[in-house]
Amino acid sequence: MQLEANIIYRIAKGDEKALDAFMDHYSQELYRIAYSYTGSKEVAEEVVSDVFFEIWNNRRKLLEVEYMDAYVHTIATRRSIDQFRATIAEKSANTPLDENEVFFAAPIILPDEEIISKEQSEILNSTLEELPPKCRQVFTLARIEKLSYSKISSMLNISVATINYHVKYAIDTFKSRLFYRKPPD
Amino acid sequence: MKEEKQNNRNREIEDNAALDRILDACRLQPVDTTRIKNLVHDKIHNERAARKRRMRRIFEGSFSAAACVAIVAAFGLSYFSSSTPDLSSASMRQLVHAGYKELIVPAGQREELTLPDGTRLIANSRSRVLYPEKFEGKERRIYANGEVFLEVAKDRRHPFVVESAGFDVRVLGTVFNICNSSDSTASVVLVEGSVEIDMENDRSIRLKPNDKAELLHGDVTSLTQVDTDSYTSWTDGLLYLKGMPLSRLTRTLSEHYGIEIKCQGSLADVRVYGKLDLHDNVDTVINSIREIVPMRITRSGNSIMLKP
Repeated sequence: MQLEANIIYRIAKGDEKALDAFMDHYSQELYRIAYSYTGSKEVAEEVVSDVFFEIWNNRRKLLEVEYMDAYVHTIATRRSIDQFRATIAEKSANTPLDENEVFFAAPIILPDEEIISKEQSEILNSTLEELPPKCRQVFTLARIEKLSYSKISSMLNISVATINYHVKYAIDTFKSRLFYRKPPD
Repeated sequence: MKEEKQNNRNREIEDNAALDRILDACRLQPVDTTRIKNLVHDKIHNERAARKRRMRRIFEGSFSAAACVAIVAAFGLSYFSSSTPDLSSASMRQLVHAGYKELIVPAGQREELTLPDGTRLIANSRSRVLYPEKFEGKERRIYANGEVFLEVAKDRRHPFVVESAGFDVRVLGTVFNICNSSDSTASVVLVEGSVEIDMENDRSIRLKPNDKAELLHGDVTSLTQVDTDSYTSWTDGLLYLKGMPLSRLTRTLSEHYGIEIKCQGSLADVRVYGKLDLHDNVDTVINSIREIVPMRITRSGNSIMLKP
């Protein structure tokens, strides 16, 4: 969904309906960011709502923002990390995890048996789990959620080249596991 | 050899297509956007309700705990007389150099901003506010022309002063409303707490809650007791009419919309009761008034005349 140019202006003026349109546009990708740091549907939803609330409270600043994607993604990432740290602090005082290693994979709903066989389904699952976390995240956003590479680049703060690399790696892994092709002589 | 390469290539295309079909059928758990939006609206409304509760507590007379001071003030800038609202660009530059920022609100709109000390300011239609980037010195001083609502952050050590045309309003911890018009008249209505109006000849007058002071050229001309709701409802964009004479209503609407609205003859004294939404355009509002007060409306150019 394209974000209309005057939505930002209307939000800055305090129009809550415009805020709705803004939230419709950004909820999905912010949720994916928040989920990857929190691993919980409810907590991720709460974090995303805090992001939008913060943006609303600072709505006059919106008019000065040049790159809206970057602005929104940065706030979401910051709040997700803060939430992750808060949760960790509650649980284990001795082993603080590096937030760069934190990753909760978004649950994937696999296709029905009409599309792929049960066997293929299992291979799909196990391959996904085997992929390195970042690779899986990038691949999922690119090929299952089908976000543009520029979106993903902004969300995860990585280069398009890196995205290409992760997607190719994942695709090659899938193909070799699923299709059992003998390598060419 | 060529054939084998072709076969491999075909197989690769098939594999890619097959994988695409599979991936296309995969989905991520859908995002509950509705729930997220509801959470956000709840947060916004809870915040608004909490703010209203704080205000109501002030209204109910316990100002000592009040962190909010609401000042609705309209008053002219002291740098120029109210009959010449245009700034000379030289003094504007000086103010800017002194680290002052300017807020100008066009006709028919409202603007909100936060001052460097956390004070919340809402400026009504056709207002102009000058405020510093940082409050320095013994006092927190701002200048405003038009109509302004302020929730002043509490700071007993640095009194908040609003400078006006010929008089200052010194905030002593309170909720009040100041409004002045382009004809050198002004009014200050105190809702709660205490303000002191300092006039040019070193006289000052202190207001009690529900006092309304009227000023002309910076001098207090009368002191009465009023119902303060009528004077603060504009902050919601609403105008509560509790027997306001039509002549005064048309003057208020003229100021708000920036066009001339006049009423003639017997209409001037008619008292109006009801509620107007100032978000509406001027025609809608005039028509609403016509529903309660029979009148003829003539428009010519940028002015509206109401006749009995």
